[in-house]
Amino acid sequence: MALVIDPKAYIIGAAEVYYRAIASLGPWSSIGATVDDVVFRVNQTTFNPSEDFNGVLEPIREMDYISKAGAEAEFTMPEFAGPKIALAVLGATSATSPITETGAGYTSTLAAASVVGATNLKVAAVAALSVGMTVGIDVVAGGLREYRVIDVVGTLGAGGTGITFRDPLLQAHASGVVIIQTDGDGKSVISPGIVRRQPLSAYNDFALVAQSPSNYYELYLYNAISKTDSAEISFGDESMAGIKVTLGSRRDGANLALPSWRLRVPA
Amino acid sequence: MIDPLGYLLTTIRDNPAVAALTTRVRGGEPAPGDSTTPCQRFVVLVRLGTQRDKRAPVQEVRIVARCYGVDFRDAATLAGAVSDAIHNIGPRTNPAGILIYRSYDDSGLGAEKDPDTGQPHEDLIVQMFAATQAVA
Repeated sequence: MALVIDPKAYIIGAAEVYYRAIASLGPWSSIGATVDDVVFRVNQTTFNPSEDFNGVLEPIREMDYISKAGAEAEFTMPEFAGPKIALAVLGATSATSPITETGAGYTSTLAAASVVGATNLKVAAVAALSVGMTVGIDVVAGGLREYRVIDVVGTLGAGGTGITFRDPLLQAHASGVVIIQTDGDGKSVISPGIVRRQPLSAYNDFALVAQSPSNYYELYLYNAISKTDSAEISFGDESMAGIKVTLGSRRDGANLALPSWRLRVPA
Repeated sequence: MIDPLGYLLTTIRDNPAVAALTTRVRGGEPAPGDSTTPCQRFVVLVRLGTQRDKRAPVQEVRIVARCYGVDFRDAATLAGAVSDAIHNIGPRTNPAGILIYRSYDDSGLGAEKDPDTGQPHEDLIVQMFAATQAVA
């Protein structure tokens, strides 16, 4: 009779990935939903010196050494929230561009209604507008807020040439809604780091948690850092944007006896 | 080999969002009183097929959920609630030991009218991984 496999020992379903500062006991942060399988790998390099012995046809038992060993995990992260990007791109930093909607330099209204997809707005006034200025449209409580950077300043009025910008509107705006100058548009600006040895803060402890019917399987990667060769992001009509991240665990130089990974499985 | 359709049925029927729309969730065919004039909401689950793993006690079951509504829009709303009730839901075991590892809304089959009654329904395929034997 064939051996029976315990159904409760099976895992079907991707793991959730969490991280937190190394050696921290605080709450975990989720990297968010992953869009493909989460893969865990233990890479090891072995050698057996007897392979080079003359007259020995095959390697000899008990002469196998492990010369390298390390764990890594791979997953695809679809959310580009600022702090998470550094998990994939070493040294990357993120800063949120604040929005100041005082309208200090320019305040006016739309001289005509606009449609979704428009790259031009008719405005009641053009004085004080300039190329490169960021404007907020309908930035009132409950308004359909949008921000655009002006590329061309034209003439005022419903029959004028208005202002032109690169990115088509995502909302339709009614005639008469407010348009004002703003400082910033609230987006997060992610910038690359400088080439240098990574600081301790670049390392995190990671937990990859998969459900099985019996319990959770937990994989811990300690002192892990991105070893992503190429943080590739695809934007396509039929593909979901995401960064494939590869994490590698590291040993603590102050205590080489500490393992760099642990796998906890239900008994 | 156990049949997990019944467990899926109770999962859908007991889901609060589905229950707010209808408690008429059936297996195989509508129950008497489901198909009425004027129309009312109900769900019928029909198994399309099962693929059993060669070595492991696991089966992949595909079930079509026919979600009947009072009109096409209503049927789509009910299908959306059913989808939410089962999509990407993790391991669960019922008191009878029937184990479902995970279920997914695998595809939408779209809307059509029932050829016999003319009632609109929106169909979706449920993909489900389940154990072939009861577990303790």
